[in-house]
Amino acid sequence: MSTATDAPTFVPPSTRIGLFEVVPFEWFRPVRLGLMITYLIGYLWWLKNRGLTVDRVSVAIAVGIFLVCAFVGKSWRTWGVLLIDCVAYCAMWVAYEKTRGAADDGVSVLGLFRVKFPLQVESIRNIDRWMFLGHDPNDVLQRHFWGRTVRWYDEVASATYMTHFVFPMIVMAVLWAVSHRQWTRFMKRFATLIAVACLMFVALPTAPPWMASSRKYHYQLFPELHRNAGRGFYQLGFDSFRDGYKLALSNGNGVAAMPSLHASFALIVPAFFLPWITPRWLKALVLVFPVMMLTSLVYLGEHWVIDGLVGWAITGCTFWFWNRMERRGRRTRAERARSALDLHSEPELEPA
Amino acid sequence: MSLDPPKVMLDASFLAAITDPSHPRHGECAAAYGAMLDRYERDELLLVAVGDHLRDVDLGTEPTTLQRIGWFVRRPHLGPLAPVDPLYVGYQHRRAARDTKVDDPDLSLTLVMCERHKVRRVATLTDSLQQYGLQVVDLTTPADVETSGSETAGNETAGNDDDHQAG
Repeated sequence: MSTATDAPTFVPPSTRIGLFEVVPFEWFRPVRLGLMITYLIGYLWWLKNRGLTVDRVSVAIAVGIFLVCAFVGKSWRTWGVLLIDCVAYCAMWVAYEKTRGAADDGVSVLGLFRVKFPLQVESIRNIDRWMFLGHDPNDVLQRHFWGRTVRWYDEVASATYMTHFVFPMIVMAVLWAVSHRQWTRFMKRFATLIAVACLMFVALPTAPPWMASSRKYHYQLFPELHRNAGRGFYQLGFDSFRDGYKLALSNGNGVAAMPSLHASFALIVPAFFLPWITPRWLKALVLVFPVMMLTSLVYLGEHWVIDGLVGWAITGCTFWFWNRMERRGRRTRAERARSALDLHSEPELEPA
Repeated sequence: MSLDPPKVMLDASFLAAITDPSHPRHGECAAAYGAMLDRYERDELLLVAVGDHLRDVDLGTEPTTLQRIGWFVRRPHLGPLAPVDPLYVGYQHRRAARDTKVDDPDLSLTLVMCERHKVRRVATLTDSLQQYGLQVVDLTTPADVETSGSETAGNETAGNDDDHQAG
């Protein structure tokens, strides 16, 4: 019964009494906007004077304050949904932190014994060497570019590396405030990525390049790499978070290198927004960011190239999976409606 | 620019016509709704309705408290209105609806929800909504569509959200 056109037509209004002329003005709108602008100014001040917040609790508090600003004056139900979202969000990060730790200690099976998977060191390095015709990309980059003084590219690499701690959270917070639907879409992909990464951290504990080259760990697969991902960032003037960053590093798991979440997070954000970006050159430009991230990770000795590539592949798979699931969800709902009304769908309906 | 596809509000009269096969305008409403379903499936538009109106259709006019709570927590997406998402009505919306200069309470609530949720298109059987700067779905011509680039940009992969319950 339905037509194969893009019907129905929407008739433009004949008169122009704007809705705002009939519906009372919502005073909370400018209040929310004002609070969010104040928050932004406060955040930038904090960033400059107190440094970047990198630990999960501080980031969660920062996101929480933003959300309070963004949801002031909304209905109780919206606040209830927000509360449920926040619980799910915190549960995701707690699960992530707990599971990531299991890569070090192995997994306890019913409290009877522990299963510990072998640490990958040489195998992963060999994949990189195979891809780069017998060269170690980490070693090559550091040999050619690392110097005693901090240069411009150190600042770029370091700043790119540090965006990992705030970039996805900023996107989440903004999506939360702007569109709950899009926030849910983003979080489905993000949580799936983290879940897969955690499984891999446990099943495939991998020593990162700095560890594989370190004298401390007795691997010394190639000349020792410098490990100071923050030095370019300090040079930029953001040095006050040094202690917090070192604390965050010490809490992290040293052998959770495969896959690289730095690389994955750097891709998931541009990939999510790609459909809204029309010019091709701009699409290409935003995709430079994940490439910059992976190059920085390799240069700073934090990850192997293959870690980043696997991270990107998992990110791509999460998009593929959820795009299919969401399409199926829409189709199921539409089919339910059609069958209830005895309507027929369009003959071919395959998404681009 | 909105990240979501444009929303189409199905007002109480349209919902009643779709769900009641004996309604005199059921056929044309179902045809227009079917066309909207095609676009919904392609994620080119979202179908929404005022929560109160949708609840009345889903549960009848005298639901039990338990039914109301269950529906409020999560509306089951079944039947002819499965793709329609409710715009939950809060106290602030009712207060705003009371403060409008419109006499019809259903109409004023629809206007408030359209304004608060940035809905600019409505499917209705009444003429009253058209005078408020809203685009009204044309039930007479199953014709070509105006689909502006800005409305569809970015929605090719934008997925469905089972929890889309603006409130």
